[in-house]
Amino acid sequence: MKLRRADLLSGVAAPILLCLVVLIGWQSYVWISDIRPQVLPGPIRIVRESIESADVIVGHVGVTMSEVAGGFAISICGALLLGLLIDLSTPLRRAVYPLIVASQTVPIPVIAPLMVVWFGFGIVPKIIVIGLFTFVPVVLGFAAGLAATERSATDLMRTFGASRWQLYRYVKIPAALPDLFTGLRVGAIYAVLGAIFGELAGAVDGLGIFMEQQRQSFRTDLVFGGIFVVTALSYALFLAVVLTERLLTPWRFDRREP
Amino acid sequence: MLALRDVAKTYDSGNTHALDDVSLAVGDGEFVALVGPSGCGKSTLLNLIAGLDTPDDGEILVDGQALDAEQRLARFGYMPQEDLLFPWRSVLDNVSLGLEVQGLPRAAARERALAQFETFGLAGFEDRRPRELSGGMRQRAAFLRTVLLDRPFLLLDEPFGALDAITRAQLQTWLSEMLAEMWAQSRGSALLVTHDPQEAVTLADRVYLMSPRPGRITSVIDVDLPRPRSEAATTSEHAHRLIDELRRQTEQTALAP
Repeated sequence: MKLRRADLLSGVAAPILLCLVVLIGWQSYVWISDIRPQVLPGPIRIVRESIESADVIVGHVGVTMSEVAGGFAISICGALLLGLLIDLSTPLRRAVYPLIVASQTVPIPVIAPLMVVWFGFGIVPKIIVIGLFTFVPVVLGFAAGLAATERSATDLMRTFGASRWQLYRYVKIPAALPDLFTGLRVGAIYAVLGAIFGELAGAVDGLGIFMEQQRQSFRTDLVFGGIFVVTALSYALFLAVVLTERLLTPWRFDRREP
Repeated sequence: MLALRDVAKTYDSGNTHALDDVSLAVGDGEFVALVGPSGCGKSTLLNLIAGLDTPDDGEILVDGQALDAEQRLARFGYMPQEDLLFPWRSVLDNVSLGLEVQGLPRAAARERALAQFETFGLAGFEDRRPRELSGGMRQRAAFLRTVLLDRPFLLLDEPFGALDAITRAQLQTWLSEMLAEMWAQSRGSALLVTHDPQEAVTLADRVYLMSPRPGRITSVIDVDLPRPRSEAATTSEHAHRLIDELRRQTEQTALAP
């Protein structure tokens, strides 16, 4: 798993460089135009004020991340189970697929407040909203990966006398991992966002609540601070998935030549 | 001993005649080849014998008994054209997969496979990934995986079809020697599917020729070359006459309307 220097340069340095360019441009505009910080604060002010309120923010991060952990974990378990069932049963696949697609068309900001009415201010509505965001990419990725197993591989396993469970264990599931992780990466990007939507519909704390409170008291700098934190958390989750992918599918990354 | 009696297979609810009235026999200790142009149904026939599919008509007898597909699945060592070594398993774990599936504990399966690595020219590559092996080595690993199942009757579906000409010729000689050695210890038989008359003559005792649409046996040729097949034997004038004859007949059947 060695990173070559060229990879390091283009993989890490390039995006950081672009980020810096954007931030410098933004800060310069704020200085030159003398725009009011309630309308558009500069990055320096955002970082300074956020560090000032770090204690409060960290508390909200804890709440939001526990929602993300619970919601994403439950969503993944459900998606793995449904992905398997879909692959095992064609009638089930035909019945469920339209529903899966339909679930992605639900206008979440509209339905989230209803969930608060149904399930209260606790963690349940957040878990459901996170599920709505993350379930579909994971289940579609996993199901596609399972379905992609070649007929010839299945045939070979049959001549070994493999049971259906053995076929899944030795061939279909390992073969589906790359597609599953594609779905998990998409899910990881949306998981924190899902928690924020869930909180905005009704909650007592969490980053969504923090940002909404700051917006109402015209602390635009802290709203942006919250956004930065949400982005950083989403990115961390994404990287955790990428890392897990490397650990669980090492054969795709170790490149030794014959 | 394997015998097919009037085996027929259709697809698309009877619209495509893949195989029609195919009868053939492979005796104990015999190496038989099935030669035909691509699309003549020879792989379909091999899949039927292996028990991966059921014929619409006719019988498949093993040692005189008509067996259904489920029973046949457990009888034959089946080697497909692709090596089908899985990238997530090491070479050793790939080779021992069949044994593992059959219920042998992983350590024992690996041990049994490992004992053969030297003989199969795979020593030193146990923990490598399949893609780190050359095409010829991958095919040898796939053959070892088949042989380890300890099923005396082998079904080989164009096992060298994806290899370059030189590797292919090397592996034909290698396979011929391996089988001679294995069958000297305990008797076995093989049915090889190929589109290459040269390969058939190099390896087989008898060659069945198939024509396409519907797949039918059109003729049988005995390969009366001495065994073991030395290079001198397989490149002799007689061998060339047999190859030319097979090639001529294959071309004829492929062109026939």
